[in-house]
Amino acid sequence: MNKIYILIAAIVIAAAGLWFWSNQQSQPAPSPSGMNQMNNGADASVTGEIDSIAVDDPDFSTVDGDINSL
Amino acid sequence: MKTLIILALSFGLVLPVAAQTNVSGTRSRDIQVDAQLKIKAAREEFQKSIQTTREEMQRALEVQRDALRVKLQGVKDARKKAAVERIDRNLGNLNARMTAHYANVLDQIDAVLVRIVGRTDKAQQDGKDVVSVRAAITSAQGAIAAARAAVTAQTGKTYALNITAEASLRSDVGVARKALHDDLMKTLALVKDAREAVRKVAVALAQVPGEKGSGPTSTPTTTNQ
Repeated sequence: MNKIYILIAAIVIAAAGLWFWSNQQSQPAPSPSGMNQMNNGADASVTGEIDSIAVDDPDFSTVDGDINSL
Repeated sequence: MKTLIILALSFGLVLPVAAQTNVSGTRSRDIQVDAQLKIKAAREEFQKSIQTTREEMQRALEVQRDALRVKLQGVKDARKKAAVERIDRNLGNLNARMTAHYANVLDQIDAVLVRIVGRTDKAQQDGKDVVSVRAAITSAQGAIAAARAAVTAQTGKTYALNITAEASLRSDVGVARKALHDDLMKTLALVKDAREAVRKVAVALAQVPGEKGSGPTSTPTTTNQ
C-alpha cells in the first residue's frame, strides 16, 4: 500500500514540476537596471522610439519661389 | 486491481491540470502569430495598393502635362512658361515625396505597435489585466488604417494647373498649390494621429501593474525632423 502512495506522490510532484516549468517559460525576462525608465507612466524606450519617428511638414519653398517669379 | 484503479484515477486527476498550462500557452502563441500575420498582410496590402495607385497617377500626370503644354502655347513669356512647367513638375514631385514619406512613417509606427502587441500578449499570459491596453491597440490599429487610406488616396491625386490667362498665371497656379497644401496637411494630421494613438498604447501598457517595460529591444530609427 505504501508503494502506491509513493507512486501517487511522485506523479503529483512531476505534474507540479511541469506546471512550474511551464509558468517559468512565460515569465518576462528581468529588465536590466537603469534601462526602461518610466516617463510620464510610459516605457521610455518605446515612447522615445515613437517620438523619434519624425512626421515632416511638406516643404513648398521651391514651388513658392517659382510662383513668386510669375 | 485496486492499485491499478487508484493509479488510473491519479493520472486522470493530475495530467489534465498539467496539460492545461501547455494548451493555453500554445493557444496564446497561435493567437499572437495570427495577429502578427494579419498585421504583416495589412502592411503588404498597403504597399501594393500604394504602388498601383502611383502607377495610375503617373499615367494621369502624363495626360495632364500634355494638356498644360497646349494651354501654355498662349503664354508669350518663355521664362514664365518654363516656371509654370517647373511648378507643375514640382507639385507632382512634392506630393510623391510626401506620400512616400508618410507611408514609410506608418510602416515604422506599425512595426512599433506589433512589438507592443507582442508584449501585451505576454503580459496577458502572465495573468495581468490588459483590457485598457487592448482598447488602445484597437484604437491605434483603426488610426493607422485611416491614415493609410488617406495616404493611398493622396498618392493618386494630381493637381492640374488651370491656366486662364498670362496675366493671371500666379493666381491660377496658386489654386493648385493651395489644394495640394491643404490635402497634404489633412494627411499629415492623420499620420500624426496614428503616431499619437500608438504612443497611447505604450503608455497604457506601462500603466499595467507589474509591467515595467521589460519587453522588446527597440530598433533605433534614423529620421529627419
